[in-house]
Amino acid sequence: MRALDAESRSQLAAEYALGTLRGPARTRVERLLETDAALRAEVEGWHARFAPLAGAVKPVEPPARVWLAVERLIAPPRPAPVPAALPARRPGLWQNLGFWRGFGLAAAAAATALVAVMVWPAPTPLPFQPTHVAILADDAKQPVLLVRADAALAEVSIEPLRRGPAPAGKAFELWLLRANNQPPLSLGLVQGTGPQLIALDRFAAESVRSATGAAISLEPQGGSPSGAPTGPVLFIGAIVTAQN
Amino acid sequence: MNGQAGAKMGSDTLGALLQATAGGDRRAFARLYDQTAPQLFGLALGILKRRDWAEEALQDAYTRIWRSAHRYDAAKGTGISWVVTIARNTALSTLMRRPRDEFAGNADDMAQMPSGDSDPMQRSMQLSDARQISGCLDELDGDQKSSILLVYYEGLTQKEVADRLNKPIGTVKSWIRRGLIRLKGCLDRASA
Repeated sequence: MRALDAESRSQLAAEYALGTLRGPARTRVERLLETDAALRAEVEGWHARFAPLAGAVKPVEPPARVWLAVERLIAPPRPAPVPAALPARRPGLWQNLGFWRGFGLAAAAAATALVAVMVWPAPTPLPFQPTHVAILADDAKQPVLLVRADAALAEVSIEPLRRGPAPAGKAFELWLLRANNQPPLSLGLVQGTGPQLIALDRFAAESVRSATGAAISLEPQGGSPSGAPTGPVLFIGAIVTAQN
Repeated sequence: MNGQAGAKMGSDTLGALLQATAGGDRRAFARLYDQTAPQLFGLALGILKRRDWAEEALQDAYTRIWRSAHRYDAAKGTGISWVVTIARNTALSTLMRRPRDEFAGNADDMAQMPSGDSDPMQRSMQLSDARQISGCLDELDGDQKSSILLVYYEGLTQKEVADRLNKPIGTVKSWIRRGLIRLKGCLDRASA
């Protein structure tokens, strides 16, 4: 991309900082910011100019559950989590999302419908034979990613149906959504640019069998630092048992 | 610089808390939360209008603050400016993930909002620790000023500002564009 002249840079920075840029335009500036130090400096300048305006907002005491959730998200990973023992905890970020309740019902319905035709594959170590399948879709319900797991082989195959890398400085992280309010389990990072195979540890492989769904969240480079999803959920889908 | 004014969000204190947070000090982070969460929650509510979304954005914002506190650079700005920026960016991202029509039918949440067309202009008058930008906003035409403040406080798009003010979008775009240019000129003069 051609370098911005000073005036357009200043204007772009101002509109970005104010918040008039949305959607792809905003994402584009965020990508530019990774590499364009002059633009970054302009944006920082505007943020500093605007920030005092926030002082005029009437403070509103947030409910205690927000802090409890933050505290849990930033907690160091526990060797043996005992979810039931955590006192009165708020269901995590994911359970918070509006569509999530709806998804849970849909996933349960899909699983019930398909469990009847499940055929357990022979425990052969040789070919990849999917035992579980999920099609992850975006907000517009467009399929984006085909995720197939072979629980016996402890492998997950990922096939982008719509290819594209994560935005600069970000990563796609694949999560297993588990039943009974257990926190999502990370299966690893997904490139998004081509087919990919991820080896699972025994725990993850076993978890696949009882999982209700899978999802991709947008995380910082290198993946979620907390072990729990931190960024927006981009793609989500129910896991169903494969019909072999 | 030091906050004898007793401002809860004195920049020095917050900057120090951010630096401690960057070093993994959870107690400093908890204090930072106590001192800033009501302000940031108010900001997120103004943009998102719904308490559940604002709570989600606030949670997200503080997780980000914890994770990236090491990127705070005291030489580039105050602590409050840094956390406000993260909170606003998070609220705008949350907004972009939500279809606007989900706003419909939430009259209860809307009713809790200090809203109204004249509000942003009055709000900027109330600024005490922001005389500079407040003074410069006052130099703008009324339409320029209210358009900019509607975007800042309510997270409206230019189209939504146009609908709210019942003006063509092209007009609103040029108000905002010219308003920002004049604002920068004024602020640069003021700090020169």
